[in-house]
Amino acid sequence: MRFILALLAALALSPLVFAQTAARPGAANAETATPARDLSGVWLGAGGNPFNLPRDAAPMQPWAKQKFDSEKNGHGPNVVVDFASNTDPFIKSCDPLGVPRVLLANHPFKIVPAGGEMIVLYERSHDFREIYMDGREHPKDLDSSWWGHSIGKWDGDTLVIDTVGLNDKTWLDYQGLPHSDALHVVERYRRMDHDTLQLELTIDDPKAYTKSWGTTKTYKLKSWDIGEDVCVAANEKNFEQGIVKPASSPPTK
Amino acid sequence: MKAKPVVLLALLVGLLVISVPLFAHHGGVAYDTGRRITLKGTISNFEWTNPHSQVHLDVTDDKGNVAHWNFETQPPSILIHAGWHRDSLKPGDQVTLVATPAKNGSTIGLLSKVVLADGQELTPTEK
Repeated sequence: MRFILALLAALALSPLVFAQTAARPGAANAETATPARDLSGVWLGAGGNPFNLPRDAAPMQPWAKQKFDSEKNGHGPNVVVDFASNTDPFIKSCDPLGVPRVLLANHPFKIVPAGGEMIVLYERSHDFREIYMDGREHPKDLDSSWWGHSIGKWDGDTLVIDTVGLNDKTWLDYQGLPHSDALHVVERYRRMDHDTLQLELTIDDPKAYTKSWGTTKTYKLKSWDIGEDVCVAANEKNFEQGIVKPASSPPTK
Repeated sequence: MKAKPVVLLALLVGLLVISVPLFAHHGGVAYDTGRRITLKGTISNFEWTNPHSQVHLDVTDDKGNVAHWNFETQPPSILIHAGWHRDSLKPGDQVTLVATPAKNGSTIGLLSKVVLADGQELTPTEK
């Protein structure tokens, strides 16, 4: 009887023993443990390519609604195939995706901790962001730019990136959600497990939306190098000639 | 008649499966997502490039007429994670190609799968 009780106790305790072993740095199975405050590596959006933010998450200001309703592209309510009538600045002129649209691309990005900052390298367009982690504030008099000014800090095990100073030339996503130069983006990244990174995204732009809103997105760790997926006018032209024009001409039958 | 709901379900699942790879950044609206075509032909060119690689295929019919087809697929940065290489397709290669055709009846399509002469299958999705 005593032997059976001892065996049951050993079995009941065994998950705790295993958990301690799994969390020990340097252990054989350490690569499955979740590193705290370490987001370094190559990450790819999971579950297909959402591309778009929720369209009805917050009412748009009248000018923003009017602008959105006038946009034409391959992913929004006004669908077009041909490039000539496409209003997407990325398709039309290879404009930078900026923040937050780059976070929705179906290409990986690489997070590189670098002393007092964190560098994020994006395969899409071969762009990068610098996230200042040294405690500085946003500059008082910022020129607006494609990528804005980003500062980051840890809130427990969550990395919080705060970005302002963005110009109003980009779209928020692939369907053409608009924004103004008052756009304030907050990204909260938390490593759910070794291979999973979750983003809680908050869009705050009172000039364009009646309230702040957001969404969540999940990324998976990849053992890849990031490649070069640049937008080049000559390549876009070649794609337009080879595929888009013949596929968007009037039906042949 | 009893099989009808099953058939409908199979068609629905098929449509969902087909629609996933269409979500490229230019959008897949040019393509007839409910259809798939299978063509046998000869590779005339393979453009390993951004923003989308292109597979050119010459298809000869029973009367000897040659139709030149062009298929859109993913750029190199994505295809390398699906097991492709810049030399995966070479002019002169005899292949069988599965694609979603353009709605307008042109000889354009969105590539689903290429089967090489040795039976090797290439798809544009991550392996």
